[in-house]
Amino acid sequence: MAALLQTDGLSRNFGGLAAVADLGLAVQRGELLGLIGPNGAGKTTVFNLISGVIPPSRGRVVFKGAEITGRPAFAIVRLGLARTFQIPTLFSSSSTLDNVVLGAYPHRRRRPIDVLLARRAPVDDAVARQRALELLRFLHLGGVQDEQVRNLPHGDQKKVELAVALASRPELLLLDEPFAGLSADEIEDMAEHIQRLRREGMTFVLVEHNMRALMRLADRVCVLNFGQKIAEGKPREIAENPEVIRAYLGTKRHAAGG
Amino acid sequence: MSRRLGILLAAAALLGLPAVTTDPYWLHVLIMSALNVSLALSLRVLWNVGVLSCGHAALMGVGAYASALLATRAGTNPWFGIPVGAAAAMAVAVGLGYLSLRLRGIYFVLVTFAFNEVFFLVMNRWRDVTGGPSGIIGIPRLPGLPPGRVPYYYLGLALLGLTIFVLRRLERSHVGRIWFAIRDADLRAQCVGINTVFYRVLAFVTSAVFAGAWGAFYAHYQRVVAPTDFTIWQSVYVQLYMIVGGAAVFVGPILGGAALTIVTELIRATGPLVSVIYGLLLMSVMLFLPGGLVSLRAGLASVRWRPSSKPTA
Amino acid sequence: MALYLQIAVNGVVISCLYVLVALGLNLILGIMHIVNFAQGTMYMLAALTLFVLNVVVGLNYFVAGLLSVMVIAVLGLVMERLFFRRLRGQFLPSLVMSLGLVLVIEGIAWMNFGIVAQAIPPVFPGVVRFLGASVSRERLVIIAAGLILIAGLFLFIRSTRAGKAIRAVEQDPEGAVLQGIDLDDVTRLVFMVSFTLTALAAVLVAPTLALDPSIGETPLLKGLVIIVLGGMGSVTGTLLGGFIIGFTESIVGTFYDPVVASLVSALFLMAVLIFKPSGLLPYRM
Repeated sequence: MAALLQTDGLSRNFGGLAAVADLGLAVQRGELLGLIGPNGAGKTTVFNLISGVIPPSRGRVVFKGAEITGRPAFAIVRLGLARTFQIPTLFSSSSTLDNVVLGAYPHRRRRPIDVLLARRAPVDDAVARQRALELLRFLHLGGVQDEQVRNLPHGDQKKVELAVALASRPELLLLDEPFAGLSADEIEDMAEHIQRLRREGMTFVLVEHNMRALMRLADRVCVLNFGQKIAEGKPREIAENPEVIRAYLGTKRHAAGG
Repeated sequence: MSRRLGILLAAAALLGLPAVTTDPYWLHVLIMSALNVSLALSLRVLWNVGVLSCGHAALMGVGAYASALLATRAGTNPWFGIPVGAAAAMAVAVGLGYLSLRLRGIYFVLVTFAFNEVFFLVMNRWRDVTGGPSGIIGIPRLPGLPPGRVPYYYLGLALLGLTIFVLRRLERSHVGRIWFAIRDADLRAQCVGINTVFYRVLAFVTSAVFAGAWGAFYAHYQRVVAPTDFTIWQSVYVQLYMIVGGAAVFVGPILGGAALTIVTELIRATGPLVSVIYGLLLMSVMLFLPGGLVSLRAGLASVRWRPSSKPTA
Repeated sequence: MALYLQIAVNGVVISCLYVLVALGLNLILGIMHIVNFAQGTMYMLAALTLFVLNVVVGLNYFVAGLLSVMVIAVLGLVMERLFFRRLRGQFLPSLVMSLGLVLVIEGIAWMNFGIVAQAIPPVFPGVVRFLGASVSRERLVIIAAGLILIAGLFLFIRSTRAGKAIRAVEQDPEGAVLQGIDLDDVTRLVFMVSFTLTALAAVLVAPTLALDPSIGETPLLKGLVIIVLGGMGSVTGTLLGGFIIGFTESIVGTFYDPVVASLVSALFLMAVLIFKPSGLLPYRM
């Protein structure tokens, strides 16, 4: 069965340095693929390449059977591929609800003529706000919809980051360290949300340093080191893979639990 | 409620002014205030997407020269000059915008700086077409207007009203919210599917349309245009009106443009002294009061400098 | 042949001067990540101070020149402390503020010196005959002094401890602080060196110019073109870019006129910004 997302020989150089080298990935619909590796292994760069933030130096990215290599980020989102950022990157002068409403942009796009005439469609807006509110409630953020996002605690900001990505109703979601900086309770909460979304059929690729959380959620895990894939397989196999252990011991140890 | 009342009173006062005095000097000052306010408001459109231009005066100059040339060389009806001036400035903005708004903010500022310089040098040098340093003289008045300054005063007010209305609507619309989102987090905006380059160009084009239209108005009001009306320093003055008034809120440029134009006249300052005063104001605001004059009102003290000076993606 | 020699000599003279100003811009850019639009105004102030000390007060050119450079260098320290330090790293606020500075300083200069072009009497009169052309001694001195200064700066940046500290801060400010380098000290030094270079350029060329408060605007524009062309932050790039711009201007200026030369430079700036903003020798910003 054709993979939902596939990369082929994906590479990216910065100056003389290969941040990502010849990466081949296949993400099946409905699965959760974990992407791990020591710091600097190139995981966020892979996300940037797939989501169109930076163009690859070589290689291809195919999403839902169509080639998206080198296409700009905004076009890729409209195809159903969304991502979050490691550090919550939100619209700081807007409220929580407005942030999520903005996230739904791909479904609220206007024709150019509407844009030029600056028409506002009140009905459309009300529907969008309602949907955004439901999304916030789904993530247990129902009380803070009118708060400025910059006033929210870190854990809530991470959830808003997720909500914004979800608002575009993606088929594939790239999560960049969703558990970073969260307390144990918040991690449980976030993991549960991810599980619920999975039950509804969403496909995920997760970059995470928190091994325990990742191994519990992932169907398969892919390990990067120095931009190259060094191992791929089920979580149990990866945890016992000597090469993987060596790669991690070569840099600072990341104890289970983040 | 009291705000509405205040605006109505101000509008009534402005409309009724010529009944009290037809002193051409003060009418001129108010017309120039309307011009400066509109330029500052239109510059703010760009500011709302997190971009600063050092070439706004040149865009106004494009509109002014376009309209002036058409009227004096081709005998076109000056009323057409206004939309033509707007269109000419718009065309420049589309071209320049698409080429340079893909880049980080610092590059765009330098591009507009260079563009203003190019515009000035070309207008100065191309004697045959643009009249060189002395510019274009004998630009016809707008036909059909009664003689004197008063009709221009009302026309200026009307244009000002239109400018304020359109820009306010725009800011509160779907488009306006996207602009603010791009300013806050360009990368995030891209990753929710917004074509940020398009919207930035749209902002630039919008600001250019108003600059060009007012440029044409200026040409048919002053009836003389010269390159020295559209130098980089004029562009800096427009930045000044916006920033000193308070770039973060809509009413800031209105306050800045009007207050600075009128006060400068009141103290009878000319040329270099204006430059010194404006420079001191600009520096003071940058150093001590980034929110501008509007932030002096209690409650707006938390208004910050916008946008964040981190480069966009 | 004589014409080509003139163009070449002019090219080197212009290049040296613009490189000195551009290096000043570049140093501040590298340390503070801001573009100092007031750099040209410092150039003008140096020339004006020289005029006052040399012509009005009557001091000898060399003494007046030295004092002028010192005044501008001190001014650099004052400005850093009063204005720029607060806005470190904030590109737009400091740009706007430096524009404000220009308005104030040029305004005051216009109020006191007016449009009448002042002139400083030539210091090295006479010409030298060379390959069938005559080159003014003044220009040869400018070339010699300019090249020595540029070489001096290179050595300073590469070999001295202070120069290395500057480079360390440019490349990795946090790392430099961890190594024990004082950021404020380095910043002060950079401003001083930057303003000194610019002032020296002005002092060197002042006897050949008609002086008025707007003479700083052209060096600013050319300086900007050069640092963008050469790659912002790269000293070698500034040198390369400086000579390209200098020679281009000399050629265009000789066959057309200085206004067209400025136009070409401004168009060049736009083109580089649009098509290759990282410049010839890209360097981290």
